[in-house]
Amino acid sequence: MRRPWFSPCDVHRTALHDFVDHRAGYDPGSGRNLTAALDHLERCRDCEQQLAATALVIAALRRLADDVDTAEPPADSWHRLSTRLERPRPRRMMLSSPIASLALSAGLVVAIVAPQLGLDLVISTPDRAGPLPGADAASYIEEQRWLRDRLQGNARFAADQVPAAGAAATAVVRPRDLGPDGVQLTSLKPHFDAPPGRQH
Amino acid sequence: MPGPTAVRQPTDGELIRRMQADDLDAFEAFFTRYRTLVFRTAYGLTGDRHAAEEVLQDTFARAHRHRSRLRTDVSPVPWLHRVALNLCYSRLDRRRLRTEPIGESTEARAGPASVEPAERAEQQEVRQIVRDGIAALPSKHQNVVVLYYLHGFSLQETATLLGLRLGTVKSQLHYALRGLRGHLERDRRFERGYGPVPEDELEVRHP
Repeated sequence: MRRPWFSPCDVHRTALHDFVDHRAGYDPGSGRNLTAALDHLERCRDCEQQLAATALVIAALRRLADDVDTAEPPADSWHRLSTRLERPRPRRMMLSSPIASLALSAGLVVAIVAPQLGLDLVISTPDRAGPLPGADAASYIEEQRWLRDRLQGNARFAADQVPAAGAAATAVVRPRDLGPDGVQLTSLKPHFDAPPGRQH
Repeated sequence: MPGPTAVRQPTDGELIRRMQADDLDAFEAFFTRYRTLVFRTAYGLTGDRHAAEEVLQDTFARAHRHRSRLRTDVSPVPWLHRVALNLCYSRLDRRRLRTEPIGESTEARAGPASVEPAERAEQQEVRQIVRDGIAALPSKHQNVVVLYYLHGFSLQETATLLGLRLGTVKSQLHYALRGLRGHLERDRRFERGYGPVPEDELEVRHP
């Protein structure tokens, strides 16, 4: 079995790292290793650059550590924590069941996405005999036409209900305008003809 | 003649077992034992004493909440450290979204008055770049960098605290430094703000 091949840079990397990161716990290796690594460093431009960059990083980390060394937690931190632990935790506004939250999420997604896909979420209403034109064809023009027809139909229905013109006000009586005891509830509709006695 | 009786400190496992039995005194002892470690980690990564205090509180509040799940056979340091790091980074993410007011924490970070303002600003910038670099490391590399470089634990201590082998810690430090080097080299502010390596950093210590 062939042994893995290491470049001279790989061989000396650990010793060079130890060299720039001299701290307790790091084994700087034998003097012979270090001498060989330093000899390699004199000849290898890549290792020299890498080592300089590593030294910069280590120096920056140690300067950051200088700030940390003197930092102490506040004296009253246990008091604050124990007070906090004694308080009951506020209940979060969340669904206790993962299935319910999943269903809610899916519902929200459908509610947001469906209108953009031209889907009609309203299945049917008593007021609508047929489907909306836009539901199938998603055609703006058809939808407009459908709306216009509906409006015209409503206008014709209203005209049939309104008695002859000339009255100051018209009482429109529909079944739903009868009260529970049969008393007629009237809704007054303003008439836009000139009121009597105010003619110019 | 019997000597002075030394008070034996309970082990982490004993403390955790008592905590699991709702012993608040044990939790206080646990807090006292590890509060400095957590606070310094948070302060090193946020550079803000108030934020570090909040992270300290939140970390131990979580430890109390999840005390039943803490293991009694291993050191709680990796768990505490991981929670503290996560809280620091989520807090830093939120803080980047808003302007930090000038307050006591900012003044505390400003350093000694003898340093020129421009130089002080550069030092702060470099510290922030290094913090960002640590934040960009994988979590296992963050752990070893913070314990070894920021807290100044030895390699063996770092390995023991994290429950890792010495060789693993060395290897993770090597890759962490390589990652940090790449991160800092990409940041032009680092070169501008840092300047040459001090002589004593490159001092040769022959064995």
